[in-house]
Amino acid sequence: MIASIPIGNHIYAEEYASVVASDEVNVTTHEWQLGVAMGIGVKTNPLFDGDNIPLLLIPDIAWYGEAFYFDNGELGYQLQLSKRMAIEGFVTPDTERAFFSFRHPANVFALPNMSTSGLHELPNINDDEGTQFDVSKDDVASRDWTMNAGLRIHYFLKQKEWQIAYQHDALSVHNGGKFSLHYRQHWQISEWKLSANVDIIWKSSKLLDYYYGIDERDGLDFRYHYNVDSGWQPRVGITASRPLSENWAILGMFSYQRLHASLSDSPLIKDNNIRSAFLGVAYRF
Amino acid sequence: MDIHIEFGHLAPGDYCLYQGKQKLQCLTENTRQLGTTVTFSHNIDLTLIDSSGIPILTHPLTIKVRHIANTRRRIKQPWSVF
Repeated sequence: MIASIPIGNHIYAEEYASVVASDEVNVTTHEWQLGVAMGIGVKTNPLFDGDNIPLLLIPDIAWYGEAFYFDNGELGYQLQLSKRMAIEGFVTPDTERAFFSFRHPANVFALPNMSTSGLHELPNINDDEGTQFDVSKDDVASRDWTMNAGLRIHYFLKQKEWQIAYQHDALSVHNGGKFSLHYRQHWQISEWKLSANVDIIWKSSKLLDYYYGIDERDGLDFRYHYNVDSGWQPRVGITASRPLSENWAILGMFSYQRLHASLSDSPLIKDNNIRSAFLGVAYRF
Repeated sequence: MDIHIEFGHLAPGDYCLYQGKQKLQCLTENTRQLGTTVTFSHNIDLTLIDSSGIPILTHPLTIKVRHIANTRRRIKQPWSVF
């Protein structure tokens, strides 16, 4: 489109722009949303001997129809209940498994930490003071990955969003589930797009015990055995982006998730939190 | 949007065209027209500023039509694989 704008003591435009709404919140339906972010970042691994997950390439893959959608591994069907409310059913990979192996789909685009020698010490029981039993993730039985199925309800205002969701193990791997409350706020400050979220996630004892508990399946001394109780885990995060051109943007992300006491006391767990940070550039195809 | 602007009655001097606070192009003494591309998703002002930083001309660019019928709110946060 060419607008010829003669200038005298004032200027005037002969044509107005027709702009397609396109941002990080809204997507065009029936089109693949493809992007890749490149930079430096890390997601910490709370497991003993669990390598932190370097975030060098982060894909963003989504497709939305009128109701069906695929969004970064989640497949679902959403019903718009009103202008401000929506509900969807979905299936999505359970990401707990990612901490145990780099073969998990969540880690396809991450590179393993090369400082790992591949060797690990045998479990060391140190109960002289009756306190610490540390167990490497490499010394326990393999945990399986699974898919969760769930329901999620949204309530939207223009720059705000609330979510309530429950998802449950759909493959009977651990028969557990998790419930979450989510709030997100968006801001536009000059060219910067910012969003911050506050979540609180309840995870069932079946889910947590399967991944982070220790019992007979692990073949360890009974003194290592540990049952994880259900618990609430708060999480906060912030994302910032600024367009550099039509396709390129600066992207920064940070999140912090606190693990509840029963989980962080597990012999498999060395940290009481999971942090994730990334800074780089993003390209949208 | 590609735009072409001709300036008719400017006093001698150097001028630059801004989209909001972003400089688009500058004019020299001998040039009194320019062409450039502007990209915007909300209403903006085009402003011509002289060498002393004083706005000489301002014109709003207003969005009259926005195609939103085939868009929908994204469910997950972008870049949320991890």
